[in-house]
Amino acid sequence: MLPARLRLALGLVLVLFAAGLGPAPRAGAAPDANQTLVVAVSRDMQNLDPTNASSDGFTLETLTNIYSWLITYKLVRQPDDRIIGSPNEFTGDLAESFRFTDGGKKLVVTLRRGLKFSNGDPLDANAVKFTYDRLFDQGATTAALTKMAKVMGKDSVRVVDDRAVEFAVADPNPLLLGNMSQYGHSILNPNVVRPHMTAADPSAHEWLKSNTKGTETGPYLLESWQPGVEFVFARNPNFWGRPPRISRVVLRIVPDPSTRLALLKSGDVDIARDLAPLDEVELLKDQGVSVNRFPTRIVSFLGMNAKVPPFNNVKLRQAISYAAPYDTIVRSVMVGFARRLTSPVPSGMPTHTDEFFKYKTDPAKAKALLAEAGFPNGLRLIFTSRADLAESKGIAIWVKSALARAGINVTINEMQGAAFTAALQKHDLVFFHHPGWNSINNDPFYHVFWLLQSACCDYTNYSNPEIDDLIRRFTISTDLSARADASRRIQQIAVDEAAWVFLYQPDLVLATRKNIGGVVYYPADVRFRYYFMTKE
Amino acid sequence: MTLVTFVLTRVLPGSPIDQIASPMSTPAQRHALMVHYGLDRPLWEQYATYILGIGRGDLGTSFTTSQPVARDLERFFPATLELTTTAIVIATVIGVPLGLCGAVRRGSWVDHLVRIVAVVGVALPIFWLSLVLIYLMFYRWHLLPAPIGRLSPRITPPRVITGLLLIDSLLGRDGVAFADAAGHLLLPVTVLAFAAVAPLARITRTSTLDVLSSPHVQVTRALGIPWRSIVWKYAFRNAMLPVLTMLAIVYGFLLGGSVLVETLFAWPGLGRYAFNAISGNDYPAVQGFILYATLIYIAIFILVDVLYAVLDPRVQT
Repeated sequence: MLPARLRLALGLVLVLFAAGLGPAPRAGAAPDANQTLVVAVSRDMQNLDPTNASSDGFTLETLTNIYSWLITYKLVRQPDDRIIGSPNEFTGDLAESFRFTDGGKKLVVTLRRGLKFSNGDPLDANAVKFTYDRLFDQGATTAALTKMAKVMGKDSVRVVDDRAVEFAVADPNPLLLGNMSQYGHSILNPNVVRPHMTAADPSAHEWLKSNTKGTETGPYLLESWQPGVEFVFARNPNFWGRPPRISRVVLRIVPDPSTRLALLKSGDVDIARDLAPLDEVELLKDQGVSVNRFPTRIVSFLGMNAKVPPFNNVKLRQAISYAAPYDTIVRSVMVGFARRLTSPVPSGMPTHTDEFFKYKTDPAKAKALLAEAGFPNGLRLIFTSRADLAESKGIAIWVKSALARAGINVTINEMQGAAFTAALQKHDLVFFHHPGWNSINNDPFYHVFWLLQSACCDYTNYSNPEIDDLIRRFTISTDLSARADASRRIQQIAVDEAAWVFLYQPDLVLATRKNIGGVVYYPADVRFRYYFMTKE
Repeated sequence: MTLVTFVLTRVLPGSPIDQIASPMSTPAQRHALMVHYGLDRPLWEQYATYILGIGRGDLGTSFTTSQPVARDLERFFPATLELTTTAIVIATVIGVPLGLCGAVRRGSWVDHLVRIVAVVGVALPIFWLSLVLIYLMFYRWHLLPAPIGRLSPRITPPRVITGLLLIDSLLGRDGVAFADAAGHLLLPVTVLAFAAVAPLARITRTSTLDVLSSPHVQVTRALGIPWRSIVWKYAFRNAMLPVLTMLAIVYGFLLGGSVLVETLFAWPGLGRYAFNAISGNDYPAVQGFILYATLIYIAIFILVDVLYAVLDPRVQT
């Protein structure tokens, strides 16, 4: 017999356990359930200052849902009846209208009537001027992108009247509207932001990093943010357009991908983000779940640092391009949620062409090129992949085995995310997998400027005098047909010289419960807008 | 200690700027951010600023959450405290009696059970047990709420008094929130308690056996004192001393954050906070967390020393 006290203790434990076994609250129980969307996200937001934001997906998604900018992508109906935000057609957002005058040297934007910030303050031309003054004073990423489109500084932005603002464009160019249609151009409320501007922090970056209260202009406002737990959007009562159908969006941080999957399958969340491709394939069979797939213009490639031997040797880069396992990667690693990349300019971007692409997995040809490159007996290479990305790990393994068949011995070096990003941005990586770059402006010159020429993002240090010259001459050219020819020539050279190993363009996948509708895709910024979503 | 963490975080590759800056920013813009956060200063100066800050209770500002680290720790601490304290109480209530019974009735079924629990508890990986329990209890049988943190998204959290949801909801007389919080606690607590029962039961059993075979117990037996009063009066208190130490180690370990369990159950606790901080090169947050973990250990061991004095008269001077 157990001692009496012990029996009592054990009994207590059982009672404690039983107490937790009550009926679990299930989705759909609350009366306002149809108005609330619960989303399981993989990670937290970081830095919400629109003009100097961190580049992670959920930060940018939040900015896109709670702010508005002057000009945005036009909604168009596609042949397959799906509506998308066209990446190359623009319409007013906060702007009622906009037009170029003076042969493209001026852009005049007229605001809608009666615009308000989320706290009820009026949004007029002075707020627009304040926003652009701050943006140029801060001199961060958005300022650089605006200058790239030849709006050169504070003096280029002029208030015409209460509702009209004029932007002076130093050189007319095709980039401006695309560079302005994004979160960096969110109009800020001077009454709210100005008090946070100090001598030490003249752009109020510290405040805007984690606060938006009173300055939201989008369909939602940021109702709450518990770092590491959840962030919640609620309807912005002062939004200018029709109110969103979903009144609240709860974005709950669930770091483990299999937990997110289980939550979606059981119906405890309406949407699960960032699932593993294999799980997404599995979900195709689930009756209660819709798997929305969208083709992207994201480029994913193997980088080969053209300044570091042996990769400064074009023949060697070509040899590796003939050894790489293209179809295996799309089929096995991406489980079909991707399509082949055949040029530095992705499919879906104007002037893209695949006619110059010649590479296929051909170990014999790779060996021949390897001998021509001066490595008749093969060679040893170190390949860097990201330890925190499943697809990067998978690709490393397939690359190793495919290159081995061409006589190249690959050692895999896994790097943690932070270290990888740091080395990537210093252009220190030699042979690596770049998981994906998206150009928010769907323009080939914008795209190749950043990836093949800019100081920041030409991660492989690739350069070719003819490409450099073409980018310099045509990036802001308005001669569209000469520009298209130049883009084709750039693609031809970059493919021929094997600037990268061109791998794939991943699909963007959004897995939702069946009753969630109104998923509208924006190929330009690949961010989802909860504004359009419905729940039946 | 602060110096070691300070140097270690700086030696790691990468910098917090890489996480918060846009990839398109130029070296000049990156440098401007470095200056803004004081990361361009010589290391000794950064360290001095940090130490002076600690003196004022200022642990710096986290790069990833943009909040003061002290406030972050304060906000994430209750979740971990609630989880681990419940787990350690349950583990003690189960583990210690189990070990005791095993020792007193050596060779009986209870004894075998203790040994099985001890082996299985050590052998079963926590993440595996968590996943299996999530799969069965939530996904297959729908007995327990979804593993997404401390409360269902549709439950309004009780007003924060202690930060411990069970206590706050009781104080606020909010039965719905209490049941929901308890339901969410159940699985992670079970997993943690299961892992903690093993060392507790094992050490209770061993130390009780030691004490029971020691000369003073042999003497009491020779004197004909009843077995039950030997066990409870003379053996138990002696046997509890090593158990107390083990308890402190396990509790300190759990309070330091159980990253795996907190990740799998999306539990917004310190383990996950620390994990995010490390993967994001968030210097102030990592330093703050290690400082906290050190203080927790010191506090627990001071408490254990006091309890030693209560249990063991020899300790008193």
